[in-house]
Amino acid sequence: MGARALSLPIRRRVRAGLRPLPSGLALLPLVAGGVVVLPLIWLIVDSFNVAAPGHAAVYGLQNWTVAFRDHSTWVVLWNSISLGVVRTIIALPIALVLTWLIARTDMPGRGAIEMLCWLSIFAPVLPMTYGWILLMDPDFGLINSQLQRLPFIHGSVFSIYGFWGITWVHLTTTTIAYPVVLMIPAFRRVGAALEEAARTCGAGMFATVRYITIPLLAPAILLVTLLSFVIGLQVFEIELVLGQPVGLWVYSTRIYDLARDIPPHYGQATALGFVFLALLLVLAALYQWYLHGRSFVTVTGRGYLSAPVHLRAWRWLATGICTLFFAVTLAAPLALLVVGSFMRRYGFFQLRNPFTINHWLDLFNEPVFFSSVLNSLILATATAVIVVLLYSAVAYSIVRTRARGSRLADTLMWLPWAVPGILMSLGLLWLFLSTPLRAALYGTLPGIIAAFVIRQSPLSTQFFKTALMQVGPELEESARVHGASWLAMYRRVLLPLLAPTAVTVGLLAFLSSLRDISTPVLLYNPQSRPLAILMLEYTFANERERGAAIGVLLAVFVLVVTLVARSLGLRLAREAS
Amino acid sequence: MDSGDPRQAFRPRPITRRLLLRTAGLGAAAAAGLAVLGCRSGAPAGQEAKPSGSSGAQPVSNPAFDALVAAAQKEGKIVISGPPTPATRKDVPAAFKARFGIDMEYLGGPSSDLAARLQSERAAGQFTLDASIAGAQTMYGTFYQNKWLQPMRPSLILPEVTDGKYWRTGKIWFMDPGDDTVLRLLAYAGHPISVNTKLLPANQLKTADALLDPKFKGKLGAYDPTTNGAGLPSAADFYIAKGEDFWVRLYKGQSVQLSRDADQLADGLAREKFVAVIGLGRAYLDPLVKDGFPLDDVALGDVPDTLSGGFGTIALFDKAPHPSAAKVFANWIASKEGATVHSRSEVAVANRNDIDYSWAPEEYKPKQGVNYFDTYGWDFTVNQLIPLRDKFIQLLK
Repeated sequence: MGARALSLPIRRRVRAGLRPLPSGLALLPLVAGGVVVLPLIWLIVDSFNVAAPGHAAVYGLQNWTVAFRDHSTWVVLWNSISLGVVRTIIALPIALVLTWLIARTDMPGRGAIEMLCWLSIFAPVLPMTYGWILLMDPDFGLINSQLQRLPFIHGSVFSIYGFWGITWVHLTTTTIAYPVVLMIPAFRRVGAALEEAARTCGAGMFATVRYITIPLLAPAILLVTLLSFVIGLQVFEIELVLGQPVGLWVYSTRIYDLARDIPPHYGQATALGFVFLALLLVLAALYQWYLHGRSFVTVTGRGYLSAPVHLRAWRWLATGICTLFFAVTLAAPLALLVVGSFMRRYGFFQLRNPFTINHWLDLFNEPVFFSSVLNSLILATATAVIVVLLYSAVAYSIVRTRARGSRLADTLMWLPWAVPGILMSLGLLWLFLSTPLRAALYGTLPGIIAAFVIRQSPLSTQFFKTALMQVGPELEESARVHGASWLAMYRRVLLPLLAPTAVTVGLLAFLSSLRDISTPVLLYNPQSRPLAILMLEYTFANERERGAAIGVLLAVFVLVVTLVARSLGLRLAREAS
Repeated sequence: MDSGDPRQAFRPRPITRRLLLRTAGLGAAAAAGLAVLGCRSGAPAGQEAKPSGSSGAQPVSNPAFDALVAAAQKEGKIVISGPPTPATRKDVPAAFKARFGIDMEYLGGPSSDLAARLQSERAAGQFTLDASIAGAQTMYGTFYQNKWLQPMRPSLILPEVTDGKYWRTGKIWFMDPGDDTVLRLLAYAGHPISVNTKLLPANQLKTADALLDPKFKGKLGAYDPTTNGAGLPSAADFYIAKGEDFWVRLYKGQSVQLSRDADQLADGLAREKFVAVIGLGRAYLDPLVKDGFPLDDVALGDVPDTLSGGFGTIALFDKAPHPSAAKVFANWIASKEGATVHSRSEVAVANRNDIDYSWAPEEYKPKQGVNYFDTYGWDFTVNQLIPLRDKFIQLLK
């Protein structure tokens, strides 16, 4: 697959004439991997501490045995896995089709469809869930009540509660859109030459996609599938709201309950959380095994031409189907989110004077609102910049240098997602408090930035790796043969080629940091409070309308930042090609 | 000179020496005024506008307390933890600062997160918090049990705090066995169940046995009793009063729908999804009642009304970084002024009897001679609550 690489002896001779890599680059993955795994080490050690809080540590297996002895633990684990598998199976084909339409075809409005995917991911989950309840509650849902007017409909048609309601809300929020935005950069980097060669040989559009495009993009597709599955296992807000009324519990709710108990049972929560670690290690090993010995290069020294596939008469049908998809899955709950922020009581249209701007006025008059917004912007911007620079270098070192320990480091970089966010936050809290840098890290913006950067390591490293696997080494070697330093080569050759990935990763890091609650919840103080913590406080105080107002602000922010980032990424990509 | 042409008013005037001097003089006067105002806003004592709910009372001069305030002002700030209620987070620090000129850093959030922080900080030798406003489960079960608190009673020196005549209970109400550490400020009454009176008129629900009527199966809601929070004490109220068999027949037999979202339960009651809801609380009903929904709390003859405290216990941490400010805070929050701010922001009735409760429904105010089920009782919270929760988890499987 891809252009034929230089033969091994030639590559060795070329490398002999090259300027050496920056010192430390080969060690960077191990160092970074060591740092990101430190909080987990603290958590693992504490999971074997069976002493009561505040007492001297006593080590034993009790936390693990108590956590797993309960039969219901296995029931909720099964619930989580079955929910995750079902929605991944449904979401993946839809996501692949959407990604292909956006990134590889001339479908009209594909830019707007891509923006809607970003909006789906970062629209706040709980208000969107309440929106679906308003639409599909079996007793008062708007859709059900309208359908019951039809003569042949008796009783409610839809119920948002339970297994399929949870699956539906996941699909309409992140499970489809998330893989789409992650796969788009990889899809765009596939040169048209291979697809044209296939068509020249008589393959139709579907055969080309099936036998050429998809296998070339296997690393990205596999990676996205794994990541989506693991992330989905750790989510619990939707399951709590839609599963509890029908007695459907999931694994992450059990962990959440243990971590939030009085007193908290962090040892047991960590023990349960390490099921994710085991799962992640297995999936990561399978991923590494699949990639081993294969080449997925699509960008070579001959460059690449990314020509869109012409859909001809199918163009407008494709646009119509995508528009309908988002109209059904996003428009209605998003509209309710916006409207809800202006309602005296969320969802109660029948009140006398149901609308008000008081929630917005209260929000803007909130003494900590503007400082929280500023903190969030600082946190998100710094996180995005550091994530792009750091993890692109780590990925480069893993892929290109094949230094000793790079496979270990590659595995370590997955681990921050091995446990749910609240446990990771606890591990970071212990880590910060036990170092001499505690004054600089604990309760401060730099400390929270460090936490966000650590939390982003799996996604960012793996995506840069995937992108680098698509870029042949001859472009870099050519630059370095002509005397360019590694830094000059990285800045002028590699980074422009990686620009779409860098923008996507940076954007995800930026927007995730804006919205992440579980990472900073134990690490902030009143001066460093981010906006997400304000949302958490409104959630606990049952101030849904004000929470919806913040959600609307975040959605507007997502749109604006995504537009800017996208145009930047496209410009850089055009310069590179 | 005015030539009569209205357009003259819009033409720029030439800058003369006289105009320049006049402008400079006005500017200097304005700057001086701003400087004076700026100095005054940093000053302590009572000329500033008070946040809503403040009594505006001027305390009687107390030399010992004044000396304490002076020492607290030298410390410059106080750091407290409190509930995530936005009104409390906004009003309590603002009122404290207006009263004493001392900054209050307020750390709100879920109690369990706070417990994790404190435990980790203290293990690392860090002591960042001076005081806490919390619910009973966290205060008794975590802070007190871990010996993180110091006695508060010796710090209370204001006569309006120490004089029992200002307290409904006849004395300052400490909850802990030592009677000196965990101060209870809030105590409000509530009926055990809320109903939609259109579906179930209040006079048709005299006892809890009526809830077992098969027609209510699937039409009842309850705050989740299997996790720490408001649902647990209200479920315990039914369990202790009516026994385990009744409890199972109600919660399990009637397919009571559980939720951890009080607004979701209140909405369901208003939308007639539920006929009745256990453990909801008046504060969630009142906004809907004001909008005309037929909702009400109902007293049951065989299940006692509850006495709750919300986020209504106060304590001082030991090794506080700002000990004088902590003592000032304790005196203030227990005084009429502080208790007024606190109770209004929490929408709850305080234990003081000199506060204006005209805003509160009668049902909130505890009545003399009524035998309430105190959900904030020490023995109940420390010794019975967790075993009951574990029992409920088993019973609902």
